[in-house]
Amino acid sequence: MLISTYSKMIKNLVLKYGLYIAWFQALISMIGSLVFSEFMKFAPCLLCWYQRIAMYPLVLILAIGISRKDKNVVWYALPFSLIGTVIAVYHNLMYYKIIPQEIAPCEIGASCFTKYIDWFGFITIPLLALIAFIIIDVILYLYLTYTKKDE
Amino acid sequence: MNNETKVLIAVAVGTIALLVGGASLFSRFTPQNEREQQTVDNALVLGENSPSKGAENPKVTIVEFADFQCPACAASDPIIRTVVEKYKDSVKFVFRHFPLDTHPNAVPAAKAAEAARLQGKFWEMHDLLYDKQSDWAESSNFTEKALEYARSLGLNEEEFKKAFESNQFDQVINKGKTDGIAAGVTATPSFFVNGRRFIGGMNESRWSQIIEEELKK
Repeated sequence: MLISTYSKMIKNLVLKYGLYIAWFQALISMIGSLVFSEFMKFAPCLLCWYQRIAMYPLVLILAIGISRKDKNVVWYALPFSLIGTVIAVYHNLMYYKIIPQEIAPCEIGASCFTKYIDWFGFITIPLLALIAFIIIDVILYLYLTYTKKDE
Repeated sequence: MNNETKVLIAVAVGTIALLVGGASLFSRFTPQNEREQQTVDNALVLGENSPSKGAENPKVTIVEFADFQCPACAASDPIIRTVVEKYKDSVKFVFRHFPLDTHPNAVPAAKAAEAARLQGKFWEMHDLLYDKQSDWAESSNFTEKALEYARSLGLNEEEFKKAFESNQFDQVINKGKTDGIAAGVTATPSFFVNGRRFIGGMNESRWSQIIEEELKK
């Protein structure tokens, strides 16, 4: 009983606010990454750029989808966030030395391994990016399954 | 699968194939050596009064541009030590500072090495910094680490601290960076073997091969 109440609650939440939450998460990530690079002057590394390519369009795509009440927006947004997730997972695995990387020369400019921030001893920029992508993935996926069931 | 999807997939696969094929053809016809190797004037990379070790009248001069906080430099250093020791009668090894902006402790580390140099222990500090890189690289209090290393090398702590905290080494460190950039250094470690540029670390056999080539000239 309790579980079905909760799942109903989640379903209502996702259907009502899911796209807004996903959009807001993408917006926060975009602004956050721009604050890191433009105000705090942390140069974005190559993998960060690839993740930005996946994250930034989400802000526009989701906003347009929401304003046009287009349920299909998930089909346009989810591929971006999934690609972003794959890159973020790879970046984090290397960042936290879970997969060994070849010892590459340190380039002038940004390195994908520089620890610019280290909040509470474990929160870093690549981890924030990964969490953001996963939040968007999960919301969009749930939205997709719920809207499909309703059809 | 509808027709549009098939067309999209075909175009995407075709484009990827073209790009990958083109890139691999490009790299096949331009040997790696040519892409990374270029020769520059030795005087440009030597600098004035740079720390050096090895032969006094060398046949081969190796100049390294390095950053003490760069993991690749630390990984390459033990190989360099072995190679320079092996060819110590014919090879002179010169160190130039090239601290990267992304490494907050790189400039302080370069200063620590220079401060140790004033007391005649540049190479001891150089080796120690690389050996213990993981202990100080992310440290928010590098000064404490530097003093600890100075003590362990038996340096006069007072003098070391005064020199380390002064700005007397700014010029030599900055000169390393400007000379390096002028010579085409894009990453650390970068090496110039009699002016031939090599970017990135190399294994012992590759080093021996390059040095033998230069000795034959």
